[in-house]
Amino acid sequence: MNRNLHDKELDELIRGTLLSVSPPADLHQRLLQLDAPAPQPQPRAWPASANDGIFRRVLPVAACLVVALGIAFWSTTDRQAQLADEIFTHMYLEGQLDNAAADVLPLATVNTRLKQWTGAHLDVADEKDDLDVTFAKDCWVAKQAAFHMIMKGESGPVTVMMIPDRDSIGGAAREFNISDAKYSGLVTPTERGYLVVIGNKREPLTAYRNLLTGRLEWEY
Amino acid sequence: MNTVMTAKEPAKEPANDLAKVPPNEPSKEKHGRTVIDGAAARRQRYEALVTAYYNDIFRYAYWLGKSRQLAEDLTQETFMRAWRAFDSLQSEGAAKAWLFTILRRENARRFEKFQPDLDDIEDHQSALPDARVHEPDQQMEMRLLHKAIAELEPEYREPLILQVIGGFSGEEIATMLDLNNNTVMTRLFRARNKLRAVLDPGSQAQDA
Repeated sequence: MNRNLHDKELDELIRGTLLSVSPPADLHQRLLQLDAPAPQPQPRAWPASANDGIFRRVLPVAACLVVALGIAFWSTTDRQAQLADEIFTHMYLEGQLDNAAADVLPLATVNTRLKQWTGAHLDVADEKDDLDVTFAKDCWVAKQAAFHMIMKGESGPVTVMMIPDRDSIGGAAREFNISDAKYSGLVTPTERGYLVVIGNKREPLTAYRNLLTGRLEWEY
Repeated sequence: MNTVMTAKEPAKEPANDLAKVPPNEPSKEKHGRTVIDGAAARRQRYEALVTAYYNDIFRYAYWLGKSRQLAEDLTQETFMRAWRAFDSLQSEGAAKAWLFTILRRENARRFEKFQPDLDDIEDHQSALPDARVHEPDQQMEMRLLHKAIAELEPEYREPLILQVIGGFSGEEIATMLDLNNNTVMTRLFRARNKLRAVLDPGSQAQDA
């Protein structure tokens, strides 16, 4: 492999790689169980015996199979929760969470970048109320390339992400809500993936979702 | 952890909100009421702290020790110590650096016990990018980078992960690692150059 690697491209790859590691799905719940005995780090035999290796491999697999049968119903929710974690993590890392003073990008610029990464553009033909987009670039979220926009909302920045592959991140057919302590979001399945809209809890997210889905046109 | 709800469920206010929960105050009443409220508020603040930072703490632990099992242990121990010492946290703004510092200490204790550095090959495999969602070239770069980061000397790897995962500035990293700012910036520069050289051998990157 030999290619000219720009600084930003390298940084994106480094960030994507470092953030590609996710905690186990049940770790959050375990951390909240304060009434349980304090966790004791498991001492690791060193070097491990051959039997240890077998148990270490076979037991988790067997346990996973049994558990998987019982919790199939919840798996989608877990994946959605994981997706929510990744989306919020990316949003906080990307920054620009106060874009009140940021310059608004021309819609032509936004569309050029949007089309390049998603094959879609925002319709401008009837000059509806314009979106004040202050940030638009490709990004790395949910272990894949996606597109990230930040707009000026009514009471703060509104983050929009377009994540192209539905199957890889849960394949939910219905819209679902995500939230953290400060922000709420809508994750809406579209014909080409998920549209994510996040804003503070006073933002009319449904209106933004409708505005965006109404204006998105897919070219390929 | 962020909450997920289906669209038809009524939206509910998340319980975990570090900013909204008042800090613990000493009881001013002799009756139990204030004490109980203080304990509940303390727990709420702790839960908000976990929710806000457990992902990053786990990632930091993983890249420090290069093992998922160790990262789980370190993350749990970090938050357990945070809970025990929770009253010493005065400001939400300092919470992230505080947690990272606790984790560093826990990791250092691991070395005091003569436990060798873990480097689970299986971990590398499980954390590799999903083949379904990446172009082959991209997969190759991610694999190379994952291995290269894991193999970076700790003096280069740690400032890099503090900067990227923790979002800390050079000065903050310098304080955490007890180094001067120039040293941190040099190590960050060199860490990137080393990674660039893996992905782009023709770059002939120069050290500062």
